[in-house]
Amino acid sequence: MAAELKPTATPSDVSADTLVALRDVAKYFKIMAGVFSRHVGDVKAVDGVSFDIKQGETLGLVGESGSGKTTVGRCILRLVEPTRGHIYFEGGTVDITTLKRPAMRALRREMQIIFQDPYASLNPRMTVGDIVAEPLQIHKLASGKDIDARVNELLRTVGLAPYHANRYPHEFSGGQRQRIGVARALAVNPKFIVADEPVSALDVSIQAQVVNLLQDLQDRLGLTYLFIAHDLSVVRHISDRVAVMYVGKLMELADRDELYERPLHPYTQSLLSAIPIPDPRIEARRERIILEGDIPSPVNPPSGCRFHTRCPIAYERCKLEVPAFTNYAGHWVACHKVEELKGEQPQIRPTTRARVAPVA
Amino acid sequence: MAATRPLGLESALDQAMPPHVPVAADVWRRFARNKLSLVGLGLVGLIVFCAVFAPHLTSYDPLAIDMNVLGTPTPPSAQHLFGTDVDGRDYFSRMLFGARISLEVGFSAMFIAITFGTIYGAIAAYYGGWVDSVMMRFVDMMLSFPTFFLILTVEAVTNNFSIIVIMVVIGMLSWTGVSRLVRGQILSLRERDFVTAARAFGAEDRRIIFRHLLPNALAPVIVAATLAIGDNILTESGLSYLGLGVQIPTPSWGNSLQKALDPEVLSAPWLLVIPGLLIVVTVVAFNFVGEGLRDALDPKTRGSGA
Repeated sequence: MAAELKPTATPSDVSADTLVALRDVAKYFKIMAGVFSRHVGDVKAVDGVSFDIKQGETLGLVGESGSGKTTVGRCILRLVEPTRGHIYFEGGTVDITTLKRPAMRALRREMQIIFQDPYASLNPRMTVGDIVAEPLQIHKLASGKDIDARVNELLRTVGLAPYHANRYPHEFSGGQRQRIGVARALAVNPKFIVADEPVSALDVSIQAQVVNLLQDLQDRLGLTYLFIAHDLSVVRHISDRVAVMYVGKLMELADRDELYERPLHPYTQSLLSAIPIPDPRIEARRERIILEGDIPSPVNPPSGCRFHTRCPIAYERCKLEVPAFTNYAGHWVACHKVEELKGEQPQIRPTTRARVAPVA
Repeated sequence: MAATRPLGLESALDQAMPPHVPVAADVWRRFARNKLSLVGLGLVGLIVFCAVFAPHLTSYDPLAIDMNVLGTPTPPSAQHLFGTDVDGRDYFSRMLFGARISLEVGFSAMFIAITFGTIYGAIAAYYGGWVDSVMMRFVDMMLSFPTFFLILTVEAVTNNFSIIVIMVVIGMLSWTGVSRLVRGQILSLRERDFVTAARAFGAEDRRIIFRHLLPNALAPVIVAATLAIGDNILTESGLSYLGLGVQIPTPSWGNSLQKALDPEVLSAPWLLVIPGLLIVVTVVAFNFVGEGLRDALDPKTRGSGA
């Protein structure tokens, strides 16, 4: 069952029900130094990532700050150009990475993005109506009176009122601004939306509203989401499948319940053990896996498995050999220990590297 | 699309909405808080009014020579509000028409500098990389020349002292500051999410620069423009004073000053004090307005203070 994604895969391994497929996608940001801007190194933000997003699903992508999850989203939309790898759209019929400008422009109707910071993502000098109308004008999807009608419809769709169109973004609250961002993304009738931490900047009470809005829209419009976040509870709520990233590489990818109930990768296990439990009696007695040290720099990622420097169960092989991202009956994981155990969950006990700390 | 109903837990409509305040009203309210800028605005208004309606505010031709007083300046009187100069011309009328020259040069040179500097800085910042490097090294080169002497040299070389030439020369040699200002603004703006959003739905470069970047970079440019008018008036006066600007007999504050320093005329101090005061008051007034605009247009203070 263990089938590896080949780094130079062709679209033949992309099934028809796959909307977006990444194959060995990498993005290195060059570090320039000196008067003559010598190329002195790379920030390996994303370093060989392969996964599929199925038609109509929500794929949650989690990871710490600096793990490269935002860069993955931006590569798909070609807001940053991937350094290598391929990104296929619509069951492998289109290779996004090789599209020329006019074709890419047309494809931008199919894919949209919702941003984390609702204050930075709306032009403060444009009215809400102009902001939502702009994609319509660019793609000539409507003209004249039709634009106003469509803008009003979009505003109502996201729970705003037509009279809001004449106002400026600074007059709205964070949650309302996020709704404006959603309306703008929907203007072109996209199939696929990259939601880049869409609720991280919002009050917890507003987060649920926006998450529910996104789910309602998905049901009604048949949208497919890549939902990037670091809040594991929100991701569990909205995602069908969840992928875990660490220093530019995927560590694990599985169905939501499978991942949360039977995490295979030690990194995923430690992440999940950090979720607070809303019951003080359990919370007081539960044991957590606490990782030591910080996330390594993507300029100089660790050799072998990138997690070996902090992994409580790492051994010699992990330092030398990069573990393959392997499929165990739909549960993908990149870990030598899991491979040895043939897809069983490795048990993590207290070691010198990780303490199991009872929380006071 | 299906029937539209409010989505999410509850409609965002339920959330309180602050009262709608038009941006212009907000800017004016904060500008008016600073009394000095209001004084500056009043003075600028007065000067502009005098310049525009100069022919209606005096019955004297600024070039007409009164043979009766030729050679001996007469002090201010009811007949000649600012007296007459050594050539027997009504000084009030000359000052009025001098205001025209000063403002024409000040505004026109500002427009040239702002337009060119803004586009130059925006292009350098938006395209970045080597385009930016080459363009900004050229700005550094321009800045390494002392502007005033460069203008003097250009004026001396072209040997053409028409007002148009003065405007163009001042404008083309004072855009560098604006281009740096705009470049800095655009550099920080182009990484903002709303610009990324525009790229994500396929907006072309021109739309991004003119609809998303420049309107957000404009506030400091407006301030710089206001301050530049004052500077340009000062430069024009200096040039005219040195005889490389507006040429006599065309009236200008600068060349009037020079004429007033003539040893024969030193006994008539009003000829010196009046244009000097006018230059100072005008430049200071434009600076007050600029400072007021700086505070009023700063988005960080928007909506703050009652």
